[in-house]
Amino acid sequence: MASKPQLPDLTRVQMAILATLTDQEERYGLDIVRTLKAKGQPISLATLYTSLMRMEADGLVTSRWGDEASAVRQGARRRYYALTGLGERALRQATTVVLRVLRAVPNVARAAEVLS
Amino acid sequence: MSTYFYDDSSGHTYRVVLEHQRHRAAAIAALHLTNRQPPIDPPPVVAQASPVGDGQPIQIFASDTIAVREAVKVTVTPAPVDIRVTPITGKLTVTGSLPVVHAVGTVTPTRGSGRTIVNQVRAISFFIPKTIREPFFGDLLESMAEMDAEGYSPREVRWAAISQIALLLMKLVWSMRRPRS
Repeated sequence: MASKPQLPDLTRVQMAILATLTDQEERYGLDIVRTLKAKGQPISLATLYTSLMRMEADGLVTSRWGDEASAVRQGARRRYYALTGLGERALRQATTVVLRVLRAVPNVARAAEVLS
Repeated sequence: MSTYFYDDSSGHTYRVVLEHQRHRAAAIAALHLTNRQPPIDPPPVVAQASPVGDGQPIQIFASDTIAVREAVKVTVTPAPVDIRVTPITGKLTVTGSLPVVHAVGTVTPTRGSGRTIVNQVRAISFFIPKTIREPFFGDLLESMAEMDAEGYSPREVRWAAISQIALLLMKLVWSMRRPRS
């Protein structure tokens, strides 16, 4: 029987980026940065795009070009990113691992219970 | 204050440079452009708010919004372009005339422009993967506009842009050296 393909381990930044894509169908780069900043996890555009590049190569996200005209962007198109099935499973697995680890810490266990 | 206005020959967009404007974006004023003469026939496009006043060229569409803090004098010449200004807050006045130049290259960006740096790097950034090059620089310009509107100084905006570009280059070099997990 073929074994289940192993999901990639996610970094904290990758988890945060994927999490922003769960509540909305797709987002463009600056939108992800703004969302993360509002949630207390600020990241730079440079970090975001290098992470997204790697995550797209790993099949965790997909992307498409936007077609809005924007004067501010001087003609540069937006690129919209969306979560893939693999990305969703990887995020779920990473979240489970984090919660399991946190539950092993006595003081955090109660907080995790409250959160879940 | 000296002001330049020109079209980029695409027939749809214009660029404006407002120089020596000491006060920076805070209030918003709407700037509507209507062109009555061919071949330039701007479509009714509403673009996002664009900061002005630090001597950097901004691209404006047929209907655009620009941000000003105090009275900004916008002048247009020759006649083909007609500007109507509707202030939302603050005060925007349109007087006199401003030269229309039919070549982008004839307008020299002013000193220390953060957008100039971004555009220069963008022009030689063939080593940045194409899939992230365009959205990264677009997002960078958009975030610079936001910083402008939030009242950051041109120096702060410029250094923010430079640090983002430097960080991207370092991260790309690092990711090329690092074996994939």
